[in-house]
Amino acid sequence: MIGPFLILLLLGLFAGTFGALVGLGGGIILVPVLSLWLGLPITVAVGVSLVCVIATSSGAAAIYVQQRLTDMRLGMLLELASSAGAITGALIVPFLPPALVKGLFGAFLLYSAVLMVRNRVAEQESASTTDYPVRNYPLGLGVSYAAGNVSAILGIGGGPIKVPLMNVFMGVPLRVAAATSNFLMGVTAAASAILYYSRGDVYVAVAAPLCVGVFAGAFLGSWLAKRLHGRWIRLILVLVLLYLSALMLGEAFGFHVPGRGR
Amino acid sequence: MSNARPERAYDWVAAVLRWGSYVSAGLMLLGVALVFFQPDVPIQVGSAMPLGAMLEQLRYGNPYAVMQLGVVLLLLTPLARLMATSASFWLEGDRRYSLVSVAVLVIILASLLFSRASH
Repeated sequence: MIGPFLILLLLGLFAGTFGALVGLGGGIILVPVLSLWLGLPITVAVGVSLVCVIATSSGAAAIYVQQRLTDMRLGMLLELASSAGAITGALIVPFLPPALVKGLFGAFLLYSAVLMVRNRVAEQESASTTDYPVRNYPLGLGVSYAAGNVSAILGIGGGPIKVPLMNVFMGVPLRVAAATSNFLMGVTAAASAILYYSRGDVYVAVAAPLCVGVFAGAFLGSWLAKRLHGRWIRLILVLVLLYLSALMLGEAFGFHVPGRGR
Repeated sequence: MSNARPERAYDWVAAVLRWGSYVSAGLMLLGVALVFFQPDVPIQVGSAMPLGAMLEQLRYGNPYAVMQLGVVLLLLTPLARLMATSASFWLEGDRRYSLVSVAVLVIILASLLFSRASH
């Protein structure tokens, strides 16, 4: 009876560790694995993943807020748009064909892999984390709405969209952008996760061991980050993302994935 | 826009996020541990039980009810954070940003009511 729980704990540990090592949420690994190999409906995989996104976001955001790295006012403004986007996404997802959701996820995995290869877009780091002019609010609100939408449909935190947006286009220092993205991720994920939960798409017996694993993995990952060579971790994750992307796109186009759960 | 950090808001929000994640993770861990110690309890894979049934099952130490309580508290943590943000910014005299958090909270609760009504 405890075998499946151990598998879920280890899966959460793996996703949480990799997430912390490379700055991605665990959802990007969890959704394909839950959907492809454990055979869960894609809406359940997304609902469970969103709960894990809240877990990682809340833990990390508490630390960043305590360190005064988060720009709360900017985060509060952007989460107005991202929550509205998340709710729209969660309301339309039951009407989307599962193949389309998988296809979108496959494309997003590919985008994340390319982003990791190119490494940190065009980082614009400023010396101060409190004194910087924020610009392009209309663009920020629009993209946050879209990021909330993508987060709700795919079950991910959306960091690879929001961090470059704030850093490159809004003039926010990279560390503050990462902390602020984390801050608004929890509310954005909760806005849609509550709707998934009320529809019965959050399986508690899957979500709980995964979240425990993700929590432990986040600690392990931040400990390992100081001891491992970032280049190799990045390379392994790019290969994992490309592999999962090929599988998700394959499923979307009707190909059979070996070992797929039913 | 000012990037100054209002101290009270930062302290309150950090505390809500920290305790929300610790308590919910602790309950989920406890629920998982109870399954390990009660291997005869059948696995319950499926939708969450109604909240009334969850509270009833908690009295019997049902591991899945304990896990579900952890999940529910985790889902409520960001909403508690919105309340903390709103209250602290209001007390700091920043009414505009206080109302921004209230607006987010209203949008989320309205969507939940809409979703429940349409099912």
